[in-house]
Amino acid sequence: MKTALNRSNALKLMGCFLVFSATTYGSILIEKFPNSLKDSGKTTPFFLSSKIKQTAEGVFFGAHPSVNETDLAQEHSLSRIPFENHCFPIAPKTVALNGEMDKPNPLYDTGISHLDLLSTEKDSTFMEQMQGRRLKTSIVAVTTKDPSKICLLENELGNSVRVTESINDAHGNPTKEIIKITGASGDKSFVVAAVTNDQGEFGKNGSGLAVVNTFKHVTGTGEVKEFFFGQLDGQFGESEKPRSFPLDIATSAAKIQGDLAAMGSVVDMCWDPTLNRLYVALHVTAGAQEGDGARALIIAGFATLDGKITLLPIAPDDLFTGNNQIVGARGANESVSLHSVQTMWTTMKMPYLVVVGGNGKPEETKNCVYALPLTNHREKTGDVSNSIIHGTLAAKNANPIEFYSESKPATPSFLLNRVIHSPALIADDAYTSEINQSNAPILVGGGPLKAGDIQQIFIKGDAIHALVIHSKDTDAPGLYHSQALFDAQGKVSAWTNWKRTAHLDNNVKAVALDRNAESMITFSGVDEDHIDTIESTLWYSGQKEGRIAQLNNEVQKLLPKEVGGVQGLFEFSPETTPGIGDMTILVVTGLKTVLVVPTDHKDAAIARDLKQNPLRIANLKCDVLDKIGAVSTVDIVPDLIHGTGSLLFVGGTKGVAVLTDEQNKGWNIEESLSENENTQHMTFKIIGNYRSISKVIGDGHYLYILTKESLDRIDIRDSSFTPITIVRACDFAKPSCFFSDVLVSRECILLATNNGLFKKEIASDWEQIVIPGNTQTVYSLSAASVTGRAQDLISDVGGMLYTLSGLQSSNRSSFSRLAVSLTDSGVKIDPLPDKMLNAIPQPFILFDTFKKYCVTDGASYFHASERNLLTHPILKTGVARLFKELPFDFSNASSMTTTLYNNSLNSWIIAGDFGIKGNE
Amino acid sequence: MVTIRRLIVISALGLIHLSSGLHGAMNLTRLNNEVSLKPSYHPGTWLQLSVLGEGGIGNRSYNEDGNCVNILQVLTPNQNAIAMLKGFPQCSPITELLNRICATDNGVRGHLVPSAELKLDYTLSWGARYFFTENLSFQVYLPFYSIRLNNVSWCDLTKDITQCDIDVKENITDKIYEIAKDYGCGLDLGGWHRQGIGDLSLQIEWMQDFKQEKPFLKNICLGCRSSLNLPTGLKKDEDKIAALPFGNDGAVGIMLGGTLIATLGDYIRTGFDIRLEYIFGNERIRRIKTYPDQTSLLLLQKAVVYREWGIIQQFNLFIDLINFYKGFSGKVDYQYLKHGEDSISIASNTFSTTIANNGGNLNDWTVHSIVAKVGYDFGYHLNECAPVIPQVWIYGKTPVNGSRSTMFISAGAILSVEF
Repeated sequence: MKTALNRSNALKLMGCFLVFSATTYGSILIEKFPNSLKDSGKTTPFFLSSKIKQTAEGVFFGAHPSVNETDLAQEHSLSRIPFENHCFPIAPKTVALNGEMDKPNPLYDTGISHLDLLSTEKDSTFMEQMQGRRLKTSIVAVTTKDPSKICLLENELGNSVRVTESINDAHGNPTKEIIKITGASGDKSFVVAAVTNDQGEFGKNGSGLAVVNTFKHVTGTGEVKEFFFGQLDGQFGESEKPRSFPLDIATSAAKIQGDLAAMGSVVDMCWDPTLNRLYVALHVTAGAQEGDGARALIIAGFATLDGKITLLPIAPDDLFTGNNQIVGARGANESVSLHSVQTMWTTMKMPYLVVVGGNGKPEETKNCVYALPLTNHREKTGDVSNSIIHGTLAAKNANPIEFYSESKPATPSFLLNRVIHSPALIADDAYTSEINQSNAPILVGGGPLKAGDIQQIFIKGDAIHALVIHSKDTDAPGLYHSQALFDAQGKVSAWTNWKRTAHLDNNVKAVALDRNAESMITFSGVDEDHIDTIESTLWYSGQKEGRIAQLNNEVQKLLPKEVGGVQGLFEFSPETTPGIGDMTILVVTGLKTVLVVPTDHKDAAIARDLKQNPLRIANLKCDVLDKIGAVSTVDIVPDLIHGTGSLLFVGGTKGVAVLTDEQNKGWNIEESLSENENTQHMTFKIIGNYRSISKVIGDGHYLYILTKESLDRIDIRDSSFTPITIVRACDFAKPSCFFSDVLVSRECILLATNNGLFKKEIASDWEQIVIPGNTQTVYSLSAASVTGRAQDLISDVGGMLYTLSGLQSSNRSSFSRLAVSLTDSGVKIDPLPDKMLNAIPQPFILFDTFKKYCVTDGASYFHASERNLLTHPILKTGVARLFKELPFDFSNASSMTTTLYNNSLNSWIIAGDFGIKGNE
Repeated sequence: MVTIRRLIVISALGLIHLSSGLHGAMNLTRLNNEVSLKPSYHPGTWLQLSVLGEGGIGNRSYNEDGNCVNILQVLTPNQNAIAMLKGFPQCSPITELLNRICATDNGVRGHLVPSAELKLDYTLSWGARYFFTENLSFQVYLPFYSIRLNNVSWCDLTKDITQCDIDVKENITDKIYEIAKDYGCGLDLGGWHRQGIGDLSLQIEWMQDFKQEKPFLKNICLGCRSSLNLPTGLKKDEDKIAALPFGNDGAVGIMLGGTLIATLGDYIRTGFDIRLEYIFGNERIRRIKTYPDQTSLLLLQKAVVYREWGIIQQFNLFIDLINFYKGFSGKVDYQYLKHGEDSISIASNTFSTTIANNGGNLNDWTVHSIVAKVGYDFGYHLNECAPVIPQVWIYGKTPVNGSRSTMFISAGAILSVEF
């Protein structure tokens, strides 16, 4: 059956573009600084530092170092945004200073050179972050006015401040400048500062790491003194004249063989409260002698609680044999440049060291991110069994050991973490920066981020976001995302390729991510030294004007709630859809309707044009779609017969149809969606005799059609599109069996049924896949693959399969993760070791309600419940028990179709019978 | 004057116990209106026999908010066919059906609006009262009912848009009768006709006049009574919708009551009556909720259930016009009746008692009604020593308000003879 798209009924693809005035700006200005500025579009009358810090309590930032006693910043020289739309000053004019009331505040009206946070409890874990747990946080800062002293704000209000005397260098002389500070919260809390010598040099004789005490001081005789905030002796612990621990070119933990030729003054430090280790990232150059080498990453441990530092190498000398081992190198004058270091605890409870940089000069290495596994020798008691190798690089082939809490009678033992005890000792134990399959576990994003140098990285859950503000491509600034994929042991097996998750304005110089509300705060200015505008994205709920709002307005007209609203939402991009060309499109479906929205293009100029010009929507509504009914599934496959164009398949309540021209040629989406192309000749053609389509999915040469009763396959190389049944539900042992979802990768079929999950490879029988703790109906399947395409789940480096199972009768659901790997014997699918109690595998998330869907990018988890009589639909985020409900009003809504991330709209977008909502 | 003829209005468990215990899952009101309908008696009578005949004129049902609704919409405006399938064991056929449709409740999907006509064909009730003394009597009452539910319809609210809608229609709502019968242990969603006796009531009553020598207040009559209700009535039919019990649904009840009547002048009498009834909990197979959202008519699961009944409270205010014209009398009565909240306990661990108790059919319910009657006392023309004194009354009654309850609008006649 063939029905031409009807021009008069607005059925033309091109002619029916619905055009809106495009406003690409959906964020709101942070208020609180003098309101008169609001009209100017700026937040502050002074400039802000790009060094921002964030916790679950909010974002902390200071005035730019140039803003010193200008009477502009005043009490706003240090501020806090508690993830709301207001900014609170925390540097009042007078404070309780070192315990004395009403003293001038050294932080008032001054620039902030360095800033960090100090949690007096242990840093929050991922679970705690997702729960929005509030930590008791103190702020430490160094001012422009006094660059050798450290200030401590004892609370969020900033009304109690302590300040040190000038910090001494390694010789006991006052340092000229502090170049980096970090809070070290563990059993006790310290502040560690990287300091220059008294000449202002770092890496030279006298520079070092200073330790500043932040707790009640206990003398050797056991006497408890009053709160003491001052430098401890980093070399001997107790000394009348405290000194920093030397860190320079002669430091043995940094050099290999001979002294370093140079140590740069750029330092980053990261304290891991669980490992009780401080990681210091440096720019180093090896000595000039043959066999000399350098380590750009060293470990600082506190041997005692009196501040005495021990510096340890990240890996032994023997490991470094060349110039590609990321954190170090051997060879005369070899350079290693690490710009940033952070530790990452994955949801598999394993530590990784995430570094930006690598082998080479600083300017060559700013777009490389690596995640290196670490050893962990911390015992249940908190003691470290082998302090020499604790927290060092782990051997790449070592498998983790599960580490449980003590099992007591009637008390289950909990999985504390997974530890690797074997350190990397020789070169074969270590990963390198070479881009190949064996290094896939450490290559975040699959390799260097081509878009440009990385300004910041954010670790959230199992994902890393990288901020690029100076792009090599003028249109590429933005936030990029890569997600860890795990193997069956819980180790990272690979990372997804870099994917831009937010296009940012060229003026954005720093970003903070709201871990609770899944929102983003941007800091903008003409350059990094002139930041004066802070904005926050909002969850769109129908009142604001933005691109999502425009899309929603039109969608609500075409697909109102009365006809079920949006029943399908899909994104097809060049990376995930073979044959689509260079254009990214969003497809919105509903009753007798298919809307296509071009949102992005590989060509930067066209992409810019798409974003700056009015949003265009092509409405594919036609007579054939009327017969298809409610369209709920769409896939696009390449037209293999003619070699060009794509075949757009749609499935609905009453059948399946494909969009072709009269010669059965596929749709050239890119051309069709350009403004001047005429595509009236494209028609939908009904395939087979289907009804109640659950899914259409293309892979390779085939398109698969799933209904509750059968799974069929169409060879798309044959223009007759004749379906062949692969399996029927009644073929399964249980007579009441039905199918609910399907994924196909490399012709391996994964079939979700009410009897569980089944796998079928070519020329093999169906095999049931065990899902931990699940005896429920598997309702949906989703995948995380290196390319981001579900059909690429099965690959040489592995992938992850997600299942959502549920039991409507008892109102429960569970979300499980499985590792997919390709072995010599075929495809292997094993549940990830998500365990909590007594080593029993269990789903990753257990929901106490029936969930319609659960989607994740490794960082955020969105799960939705539909209306249940009086309970309106709810969309929540999080993985732990205390889920966070997103601030949407769904009181008049009934159904939630899906949530997906659309990078061209910079937002998670949510679809349902209410239309489309999002965060912008 | 009829000073001797104390037309004692008795407040005891009903002579016209015609509708006593018409309460159950659907909260049909008790229609007994003892104070209003019980015939008076003359001094010196040792035995009084009565018979009542009543026909239904209509039916009025009230929902929780006191709005008039159809009999099948008293507890909820519609019935939830998706929730009907929830709360069953994982591998049961009901759960398999539910999993297959995977449909969530959007407020209309799987919802059915039931409607029907409830008709009272007739009521017959017999009563006998034996006087030990002039003030103390023993009474026996037995009613008989014929009630039917006609024109039952189930209007499907499910839309025809999404796949979920279609799944629900095809798998559930289009064949709701079959599903209810097959999965619901024989639940019949159609109409019915039931007739049978009600609960037998045995009552003892004391009434005493206290004459008042005052210009206007002539007499105060005090009374008290107690009765035992035996479960002889037709029980609720769990396999039919809104098939009400004709008594206390197999439970024994005891009642205590009291009356105060003041005679004002020669023709007017006014007073009030209070009745409290306690029904002993009983155990029998009943339909239960297996999921909180389930609605009262679509309960597929039956289980042995112990039901703890709520207290029944009834209050009457009335005014009589006595013998205003040659033996004719009249009366108007306002009655308020409240049945307290019931609770149930399931006699197994298979299902949750907490969920089962989360039911609208266990909530308290109330009825406000008005009864008016006129009658003729043949004793007005007869000698005081006449061996037989007949009385005849006609009456009508109608509900005026209520909540979660159903009541008939009816009219009838009462004939009594005294010896």
